[in-house]
Amino acid sequence: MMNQAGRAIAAVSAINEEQPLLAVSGLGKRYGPGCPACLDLQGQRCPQCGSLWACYDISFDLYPGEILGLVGESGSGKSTLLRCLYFEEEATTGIMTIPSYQGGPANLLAASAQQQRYIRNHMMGMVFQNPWLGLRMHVSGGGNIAEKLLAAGVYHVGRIRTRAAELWRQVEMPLPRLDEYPQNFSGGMQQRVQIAKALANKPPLLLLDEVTTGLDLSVQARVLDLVRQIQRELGVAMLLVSHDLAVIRMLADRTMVMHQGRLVEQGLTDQVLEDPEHPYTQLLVRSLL
Amino acid sequence: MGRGGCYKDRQAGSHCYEGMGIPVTALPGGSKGRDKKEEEAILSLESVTKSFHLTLTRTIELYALRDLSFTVGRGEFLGITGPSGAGKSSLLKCIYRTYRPTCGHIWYESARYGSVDLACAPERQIIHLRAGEIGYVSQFLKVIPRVAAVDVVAERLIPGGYSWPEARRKAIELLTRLHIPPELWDACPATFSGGEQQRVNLARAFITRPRLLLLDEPTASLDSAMKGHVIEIIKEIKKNGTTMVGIFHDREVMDRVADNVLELNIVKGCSGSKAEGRAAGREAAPWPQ
Repeated sequence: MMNQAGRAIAAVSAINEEQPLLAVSGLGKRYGPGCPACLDLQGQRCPQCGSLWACYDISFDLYPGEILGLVGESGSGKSTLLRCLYFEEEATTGIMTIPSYQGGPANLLAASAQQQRYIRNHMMGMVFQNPWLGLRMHVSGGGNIAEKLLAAGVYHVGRIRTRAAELWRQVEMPLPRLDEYPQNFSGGMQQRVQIAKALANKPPLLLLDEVTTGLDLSVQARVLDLVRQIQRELGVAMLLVSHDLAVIRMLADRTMVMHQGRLVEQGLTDQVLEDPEHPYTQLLVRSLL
Repeated sequence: MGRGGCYKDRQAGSHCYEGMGIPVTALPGGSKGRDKKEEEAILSLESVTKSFHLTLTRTIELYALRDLSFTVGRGEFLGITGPSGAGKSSLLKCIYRTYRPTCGHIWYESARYGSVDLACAPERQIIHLRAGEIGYVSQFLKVIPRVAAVDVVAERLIPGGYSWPEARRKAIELLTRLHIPPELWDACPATFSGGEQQRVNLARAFITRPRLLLLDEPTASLDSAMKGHVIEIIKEIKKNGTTMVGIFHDREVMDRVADNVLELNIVKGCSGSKAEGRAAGREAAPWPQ
């Protein structure tokens, strides 16, 4: 139990020394050849060269331990943005830094593949909308978790086994099914195995892409409770992509709105939902409430 | 600090009525310049205007507040009254930053940050202020279902560094004082009666002992005995130095707790308004004694 003084010191230092965990500025992802006209683009498609910009000039900061919501209609570039941050796709433009990593080196988006792999394996976890992208369906659940641990440099088989069982319990999966193939699991269970796998290396940053889409209501609720519990107990920062405003309202401290590849609004979650400024956000909020 | 800093730069001149609105008369504390204002003022509004630029059907400019200025002294209870639609709730939401004021300043003397303009402070700063200094009691309890009443209250203490057992003990103490029967502590507030929900709502705000507490009709759904208990707690918190701004429809309750009363009026046919749709200005006047 922390005493009063310790609490005060912790609170003060948390505020005064707050620096972002992840800082992104001017991130863009282009499909197509690109041309000088792309630099001053109005829409999503360049009229000169026909390139499509899935993300355009995205800038935001993510702070330690917070849940940052990202909403937008399908096709607005949410998943592309997440894949760029996870180095699954190569971003065309932009700068991404993790200040706590090696004293905050230069642009991670332009770092070597080896360096990107290191960042991904040691500092990030990702849960994909489609479990087939995040899990190897023909490798046991425990094997999937082991894969992430091996990548993060844990080679001791006993320790891997213990950690896998611990994560299995944490996401409320039945222990006897640890060695079963994920393809035999239900959608909700697959999502929970994905979360266990993403958490295996104890990352400070978790990227969640539509974790509850397609799950039935009670399963959705349990996955959301799990996300909440992880944030509360492990203090993991999360970038949470969802088109479900109820999920965003329940989980996110701050929310960003994407529309046609751009961030059109960002603010406190209650402010974005109750006092939306951009026409698209107004439409979104009125559509779903 | 958050990117964008003061968002007003990009809004400058759009629909700002600063300096040309309705003159404000006889305010409690008076409308004074920032430098000249009293040492004791903890909250000071300067020409706050809130308009909604709605684009959903046709472009409509709605004014909720216009050129409102007043100060609240440290430890004071300012009651707000006025007819429905006069902008009472909007005013509280502007102070809490659920709404972003269109123009004007809301100066708050923070224990951690010194003078902060709540109208444009960085969002992370607002999140920290909400966790530790500024409380808000809405008209209705809005919480995540599936969470026990005691945890709904206790979780407010967790960001301040309390352990869960400690936080739960304090929550139970407060729920007992608010006469929530012990058998309800582990039940979800969603199943409670209106009055019980409202008391949980109050407990959630009271438990952090905020420096500034905003109350939106906190006693509206309570019977007279419960009103008595709530007033008692409000007075006790006030004695501990909490400054409060509260909306009450109940004149009797208002008389028992408020030091000063601000009356918001709808002023019809105000000049200088080019807004389409409903154009209404607000005027502040002292409560007729």
